[in-house]
Amino acid sequence: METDGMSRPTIRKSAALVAGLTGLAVAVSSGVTADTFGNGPGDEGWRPDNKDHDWCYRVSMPNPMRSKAADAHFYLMNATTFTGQQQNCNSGTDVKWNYGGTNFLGAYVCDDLNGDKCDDASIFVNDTLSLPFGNVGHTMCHELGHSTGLRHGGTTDCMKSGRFTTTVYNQHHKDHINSQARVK
Amino acid sequence: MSSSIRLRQLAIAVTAAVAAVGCGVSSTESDATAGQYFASFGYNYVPAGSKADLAAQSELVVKAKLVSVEDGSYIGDSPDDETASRTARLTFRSEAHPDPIVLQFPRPRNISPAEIEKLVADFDQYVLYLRQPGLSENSLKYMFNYDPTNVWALSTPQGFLVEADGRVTNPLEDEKETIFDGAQSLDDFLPEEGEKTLR
Repeated sequence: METDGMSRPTIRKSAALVAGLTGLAVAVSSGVTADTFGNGPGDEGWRPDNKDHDWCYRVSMPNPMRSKAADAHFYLMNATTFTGQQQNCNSGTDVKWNYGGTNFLGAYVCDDLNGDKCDDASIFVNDTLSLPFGNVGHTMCHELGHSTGLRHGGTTDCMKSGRFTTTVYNQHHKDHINSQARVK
Repeated sequence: MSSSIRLRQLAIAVTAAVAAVGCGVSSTESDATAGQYFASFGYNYVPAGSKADLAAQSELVVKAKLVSVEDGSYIGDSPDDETASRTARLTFRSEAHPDPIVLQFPRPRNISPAEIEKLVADFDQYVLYLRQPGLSENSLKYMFNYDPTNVWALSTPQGFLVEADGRVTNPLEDEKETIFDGAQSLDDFLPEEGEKTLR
């Protein structure tokens, strides 16, 4: 970081940073196929605060996309021990759905970190790149998986990055989702 | 979740009251590490198959240094939407490009731009694979406080390489394969022909 125009911030948490970077490097070079499940500090990704996974739609979401997002939640609730219902957006809504984005098919963003959990998050579905609907369904399932704490991985299910039509989690990922520690 | 919301609302109210009386207590320190911050967001994207493929998708590939982190745009239903998703503007400078290079990264509400700046203080240098942001009309309609000046987007999350203490990693990329196998120094992560500047 350059120091012109601003003082170099005090170096802190360097050990944790190095450890984190080392962990990433090991993960990249290991060649293993099993992916990680977020566990907050010292791990990758963030688990939700509990298994009650309510959702809402921002005004940018058109009705057909709302229906597809609801399908992703209903599948999550049928396939795992997560629960939830649609509600009006508020600061505590677990998942807020948006339509629009940048260069990627979709994005998951934790809006509020609380200790080692993510209290609430937003999902962005790209309004041009994710079409046709098959890709939208995969992207929604993918980003919703991030909101349950999953990271990338697998070869045949939603958490594989890219243009795919799969809209299910494999058993490995279901087990991870169901193991989410803090139950409501 | 309602009890936790009430507790947080109480905590926010207490924090606001403390700030209002001028105690100078920071309410935004989250104790997150850099790795945790960058893991607080993730993307579905079409991965480039090789370094050359990633370079071909990019309009600009540079070695750069971070010079500032500021509050960025926010995305919500209206300009006064308190539940909006926040972003941070990370401004880089590169010897290969005359203008500042701005990247907008998401940020949780409780991680301030100043805290992000502290979290990445050990990041010495970056290699960035960039292209123009593909913001649609619908995106811009619900994005507030957005300044497009010098804003770029990563071509894919694969194109965000960080050098710290002589090691190069990608804090955004958690896939188990890499298109940079064998790369060691930061220069190894550049395209074979070196930095790619605007034609």
